[in-house]
Amino acid sequence: MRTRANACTSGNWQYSYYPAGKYYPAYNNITGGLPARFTCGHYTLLAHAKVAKWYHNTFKGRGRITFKNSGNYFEPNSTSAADVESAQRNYDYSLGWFNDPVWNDGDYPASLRDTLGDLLPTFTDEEKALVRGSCDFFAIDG
Amino acid sequence: MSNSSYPGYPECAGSVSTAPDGFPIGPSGDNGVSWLYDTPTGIRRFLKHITTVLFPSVPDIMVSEFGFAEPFEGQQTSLNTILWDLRRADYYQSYLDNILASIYYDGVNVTGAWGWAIFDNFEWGSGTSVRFGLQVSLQSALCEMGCGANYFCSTSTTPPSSVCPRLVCSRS
Repeated sequence: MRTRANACTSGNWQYSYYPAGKYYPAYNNITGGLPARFTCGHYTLLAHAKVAKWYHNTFKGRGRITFKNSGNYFEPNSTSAADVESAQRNYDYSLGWFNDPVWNDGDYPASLRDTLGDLLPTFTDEEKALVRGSCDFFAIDG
Repeated sequence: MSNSSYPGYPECAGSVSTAPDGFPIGPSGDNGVSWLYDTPTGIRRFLKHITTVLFPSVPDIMVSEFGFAEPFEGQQTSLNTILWDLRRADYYQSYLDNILASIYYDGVNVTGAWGWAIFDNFEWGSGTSVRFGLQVSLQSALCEMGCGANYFCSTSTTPPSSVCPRLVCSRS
């Protein structure tokens, strides 16, 4: 099973034009923009984690589960600290957004929390434990 | 960084598709996919960076999608022209070479690579004007393997090339 979670950015949650040409239905009065994007990502990741747990523990499937990632390879343009930090921020907002919770410590990258504050939803401790390790391998789109 | 009125918010980090000397990072695909460049050394570096720096706990990694849209293929009408998809062939050969290098020289546990795509299909908003298929399927009565498909089939150790057949399909 593969899902492509970063569609929350371009795909009719934050912006209306791609691919459906209009916003997706709004819940809890979150209608577009950054709150929609990060709420979408939050629940997509939780949904993935719940399905993965069900698949392994309840269904006892023999396959492997992950989500596929569509992100770019970044290299700093120079050796300056600002460029190195910029490359890492690019990763944090693309791959890190979904994969730091799964592969690192169960939570979003620190740079997302620092910059977005309340715009970024929070995980409970149970949710962190659910999300952490919910992918069996890494899938990257080249 | 927390100034939400800044135009680059919230990423506050940009990028360009040029090397530091200003030269573009690779040959580009069709105009309809302006984000697409053929950057084979990039995939090798990316596989290493993901599994060693960004997410070291990853046990194995697959390239779940890689492929190329030959420029202007959607506007070609002659099969003789379409079958020589040399940019796509070069893309597949060099990406597969670099994925192998990633495994054998860099020690990255790459367990799969999935080409996009076996057939031409509807490419998001570009529809049929942008073609990623290894087999020509949208234009003619015959599904033919181009050069790209020959590279993909001949450089994979499994399956053998006999399962990359010439298909005959009817035009809808």
